[in-house]
Amino acid sequence: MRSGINPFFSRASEYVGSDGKFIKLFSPEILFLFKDYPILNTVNIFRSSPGGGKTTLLKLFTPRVLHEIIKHQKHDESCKEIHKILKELHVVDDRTPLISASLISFNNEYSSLEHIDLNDIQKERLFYSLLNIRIVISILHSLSISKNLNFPEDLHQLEIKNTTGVNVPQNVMNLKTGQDFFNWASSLEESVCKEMDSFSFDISVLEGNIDLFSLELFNKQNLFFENKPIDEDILVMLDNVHDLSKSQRSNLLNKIINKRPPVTTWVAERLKALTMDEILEGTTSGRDRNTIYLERYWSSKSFEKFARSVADRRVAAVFDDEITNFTSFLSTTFKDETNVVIASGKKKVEERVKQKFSNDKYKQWLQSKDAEYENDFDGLVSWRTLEILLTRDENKPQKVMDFGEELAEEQLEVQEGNDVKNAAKLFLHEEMNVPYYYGFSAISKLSSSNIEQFLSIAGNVFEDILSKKVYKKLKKDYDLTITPERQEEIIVKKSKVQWKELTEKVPNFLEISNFLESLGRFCSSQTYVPNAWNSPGINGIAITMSDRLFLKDTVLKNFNHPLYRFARCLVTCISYNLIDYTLNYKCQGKTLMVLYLNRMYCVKYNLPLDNGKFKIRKLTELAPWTDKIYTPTKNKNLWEQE
Amino acid sequence: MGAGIRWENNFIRKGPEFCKFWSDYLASGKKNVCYIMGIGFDPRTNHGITKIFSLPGEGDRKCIAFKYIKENLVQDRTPNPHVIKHTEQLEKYLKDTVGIDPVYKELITRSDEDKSIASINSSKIIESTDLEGFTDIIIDISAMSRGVFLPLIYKMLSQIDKQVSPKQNLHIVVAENPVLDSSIEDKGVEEQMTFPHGFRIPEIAKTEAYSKIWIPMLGEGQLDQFRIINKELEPVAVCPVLPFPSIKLKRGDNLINYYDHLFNDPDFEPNNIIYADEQNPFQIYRLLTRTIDQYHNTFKILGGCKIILSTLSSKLMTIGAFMAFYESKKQQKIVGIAHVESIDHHLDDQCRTENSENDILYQIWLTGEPYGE
Repeated sequence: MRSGINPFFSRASEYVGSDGKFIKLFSPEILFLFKDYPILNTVNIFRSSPGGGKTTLLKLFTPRVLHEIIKHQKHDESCKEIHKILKELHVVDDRTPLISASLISFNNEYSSLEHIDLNDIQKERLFYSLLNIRIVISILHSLSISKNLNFPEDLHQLEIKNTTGVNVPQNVMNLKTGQDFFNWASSLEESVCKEMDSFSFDISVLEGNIDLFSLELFNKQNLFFENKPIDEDILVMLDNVHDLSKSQRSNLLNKIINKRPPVTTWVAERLKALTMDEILEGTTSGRDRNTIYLERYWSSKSFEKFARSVADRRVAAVFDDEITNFTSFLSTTFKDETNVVIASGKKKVEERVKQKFSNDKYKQWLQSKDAEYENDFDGLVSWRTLEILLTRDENKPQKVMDFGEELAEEQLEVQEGNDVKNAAKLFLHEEMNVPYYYGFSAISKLSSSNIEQFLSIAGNVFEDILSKKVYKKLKKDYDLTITPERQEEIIVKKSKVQWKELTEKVPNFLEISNFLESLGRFCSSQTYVPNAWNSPGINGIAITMSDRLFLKDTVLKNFNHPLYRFARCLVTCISYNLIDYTLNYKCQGKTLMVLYLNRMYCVKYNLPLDNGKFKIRKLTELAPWTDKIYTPTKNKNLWEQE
Repeated sequence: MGAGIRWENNFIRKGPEFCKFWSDYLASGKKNVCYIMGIGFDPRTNHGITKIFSLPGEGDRKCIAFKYIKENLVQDRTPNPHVIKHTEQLEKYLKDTVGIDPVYKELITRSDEDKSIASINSSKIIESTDLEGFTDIIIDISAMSRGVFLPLIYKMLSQIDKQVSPKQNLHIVVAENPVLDSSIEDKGVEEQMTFPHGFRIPEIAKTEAYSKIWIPMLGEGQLDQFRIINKELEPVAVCPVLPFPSIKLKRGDNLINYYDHLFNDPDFEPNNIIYADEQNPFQIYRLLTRTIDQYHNTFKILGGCKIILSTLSSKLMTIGAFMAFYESKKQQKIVGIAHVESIDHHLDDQCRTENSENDILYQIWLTGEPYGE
């Protein structure tokens, strides 16, 4: 069954049924992360908020998808592009995959084991028994696809040698062929699952120990096909590890990380599964283990390019007979009503500036603005930028030494940077409601490097495009583009809906809401000052790295610590992607942890979307924000002198 | 189908007949009655017990009341004021009218890790409760969620089915109030679908290739749940159950509009729609049993199929789905009930006041005397 016609709402590519469709929607830019991290002989731990793209990435490595890519590499553009990168990464060659990957996805079935009436050791045995079974079956299945065998009928052609390893259970040691292993695993799986759903668990079905023997036994050296060792490297990908219980997860990760199993193992999990310690830990990389935070990876690379590729592939799925891209639907031309506001606004700001800064010192600057503009909006922005710069100049302490020397036009050009222009646009949005949040770049920034967040915003915009497409069938010259006003309307609405949803999704939301509201109000109060001193604006705060260490090593270990609630709030905000953070940022001789408000919520407080400026704050200043919403000492003031 | 089904002949009473039945039944001889109920925010919490236990009759009376506790943490135990009120009303009523105290059972609904554990705990509670000596067991599901009452009824019916004659009588009582039901808002739903304990479809290698058939019983305000289940199951066929006849004649049509993504999907087969009387769980049971049988027999040629029921509608219809599940499972068919747990519920105070007295009491006799057991 199809889930809908808006391809942006195919939340993540993993839900799209067919492999061909999946490949069409897959954007290969994500694969470049393997230029920084190895694919094999390591434990890769992928972490992100929901919708970061973990499962999509893992699914690409599954044997059916790899075969499909190889099969169509010559005549399908998407396959060709992905194949080229995969070949460079030694995942495939021209004829066959070089990796046989198994995807095991956890769900609440595993965590429910914790609530069965068994003792802790029995629960652990049950968990590893089930996991070993699933890994064995999954590896055999992948190998069948790689070797073009019928599953499970032809599994006797696979041989597993050296089954007498140290951790292999006694009854498994006698098994020789893939068929033997499949029969053993599938019948055990059936009886274990039956017991798990029964009202009284019969422990006699339990087999095996608490070892993850499957990751040792099924390594490449032990696997033979047609009496020869197999060529493919074995990769086991454990997805949705966050769905395990805390103890299952930590036990499993410890086993994988400490034992470094011979079978390459990847783990994918959401940030919410992490302990508070782990969240504040940051990236860990080493010879045998890499922790890859996807949003942070994208914030250091070109997320916009990736998002563009993701969007264009989805647009192509609907507009398959036309050459088009998502950006082409996003108009930058304002509606007539807005142009009227802009024209009168330009006049108003011009008069205000001329009246306020009539001093001869500013004569040249004022004259330079009397030029012709391509459109009223450019003129308005230009005058508003000048107002900010003149306010700055008036506030300078040198004023006392000012001998009335006229400021040259060249000096104005130097000071009129993009930051100030951006601040002027933001101020105009606040003062006159001139759209600010529109265009592809804005949508990309609003996503805070999370692909699902991007798809969700872009999908709402695309709904309008789809409706227009229906009209276009009746009227050929019907314009499909979305005006900036409408784009902003959709974005603001989406931001509100997403905020409302937080109340239901995020634990302890009252303190989180207080903190975010305080952060938003604080940033707003620092942004909206007449001289826009922090242009384009503030959308973050920073604490020192030593304060972060204190939170991690002292505060979070003591429930009764006065800062505990604040530390817990910070961790929740990070794990639910409500704030983005950067570690070890050097500024003013200090090493900082910078905490930016998720861009989606910047809309709520009319804040800029760029990685704006931030203010350093002490923990004791921030902690009260979880209890009481910060109230700025001064109201917003955009043009009056203080 | 038809002949040979367990509840071909059945027993259901509603409204005025409900009171008449209980009055006659309790007066007909010594009946030791155990009443199992939940104490929730729902204004219907005490309606059933106060009707039945007020009637004269010989025999013992016992009330087992589930108290829902969200987490096993003492500091989070701040009961809803409506729950406190219903508890006080129940205690006073039982003391004044019957001369007993309720036996409370704490049901922890969410784990420390905020995962739903209501269904497994519900079956555990009943496991540890001694019900010997009672001729009649009444399970009042008016203030119980599906995750609680489905395993409870399943466990109880399985136990009674193992008894030798004369078996205990098992009655299900529910206070139906469509206006009130549609006013109860789900405050957030889980991100994943789940199978209540005992109702899981085993995801095992042996049946991995079997196609999934989904039979959702559609109701208002359940679109998110519908989408989550649909996305996770990826069924090859969907057989939606629409209420017809229903008290509001256009209810089925409105639901078609509400679930427009399903009905407008070009892959959707309109012949799959099942129309069922929203007030008759036994009719729903018969229709579902027949559908399950048909799919089971058809897919046998390909190895088999997995049939998943989802109750996105009223509790009365859920009972019908339960009966179809129970019987099909006994016949070794692969069948389960999938749902999406709600994190919390909200009922507007005005709606609570205006509609709390308008419900209709239903009595469904699942096993015992009328079935010659």
